[in-house]
Amino acid sequence: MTTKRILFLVAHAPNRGALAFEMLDALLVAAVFEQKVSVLFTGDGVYQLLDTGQQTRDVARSYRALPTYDVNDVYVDKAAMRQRGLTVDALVLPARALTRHGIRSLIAAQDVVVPD
Amino acid sequence: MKFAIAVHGDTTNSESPHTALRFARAVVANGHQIHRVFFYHAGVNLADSLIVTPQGEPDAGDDWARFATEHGVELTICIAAALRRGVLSDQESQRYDRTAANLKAPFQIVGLGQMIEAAIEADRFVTFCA
Amino acid sequence: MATLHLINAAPHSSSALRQCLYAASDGDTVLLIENGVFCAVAPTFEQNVSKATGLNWCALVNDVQARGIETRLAPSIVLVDDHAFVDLVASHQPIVSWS
Repeated sequence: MTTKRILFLVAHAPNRGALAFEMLDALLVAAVFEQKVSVLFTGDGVYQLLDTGQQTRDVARSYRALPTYDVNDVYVDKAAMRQRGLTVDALVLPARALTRHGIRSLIAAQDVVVPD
Repeated sequence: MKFAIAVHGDTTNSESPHTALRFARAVVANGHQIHRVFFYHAGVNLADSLIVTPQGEPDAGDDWARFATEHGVELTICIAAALRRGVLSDQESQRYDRTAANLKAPFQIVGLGQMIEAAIEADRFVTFCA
Repeated sequence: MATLHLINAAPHSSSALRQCLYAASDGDTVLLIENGVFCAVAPTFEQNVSKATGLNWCALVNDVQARGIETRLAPSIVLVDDHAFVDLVASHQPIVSWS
């Protein structure tokens, strides 16, 4: 089976009904298919990784499980984080903060980009 | 070249079903192939056979069905997204004890794996957002 | 191969244009579709885009005509039809959709 580099691009805030969970489901399926999966949180999308402290299932808790699916290439937009006063330790899982240059390189290297 | 097309919106909140169909027609006219069309999020509503479109407005679901039948193109909708939005095949309707089934031919209900398979197999993957 | 960006949202009701401009690389092409063609209206384009000189800007002619703005576009916008849209996809990778 061919291996493609597939980037899931999360650019919207969570809590838009089922949309965030549906994006996450697609990401996990891609991981199961053993593709080169990465995910970038940009704009209000960075809020999807914010630890909400809630006990019920929310998107943040679900994203925490990414490493168990062997999805370790998790990126956040450094500028988007800074604009929102967030640091990587406020997030539910380890994420690499990318500069604009890093984001451009990441996108250019992909075969497929899946938007949320 | 093989194209995979994803459609995320339905006609109540988006132009994506219409834009994507025009694109699909041009793909075929340009001599390329469509590997699969995958309807996700609200896009699954295109497969709802109960929709009644006002006279004079284009019926995107019908337009897609006609295009797919004419050109042998695979139209797929995500099962999880479809269940959430009440688009059910006979099988799902029975499984969940619902009063009716409303999946419109030739749309097929499939798992998300078909979207990923399309991303893997096609040369180009294009998403039409809501 | 350069990236093709699709923007389907109007400039002031969505952050799509802003996010695309931030993430696009020199040599990439941006195709404005649906309400995204409003990003091509001259004053808006000059205000938001003129700094991003390394990008190629296109707009889908069907959507421009549907909105009656053919004569209001910035001069650097290239109008493309559906066949040219397919050619753009064939000659770029990946395709990034912003909404």
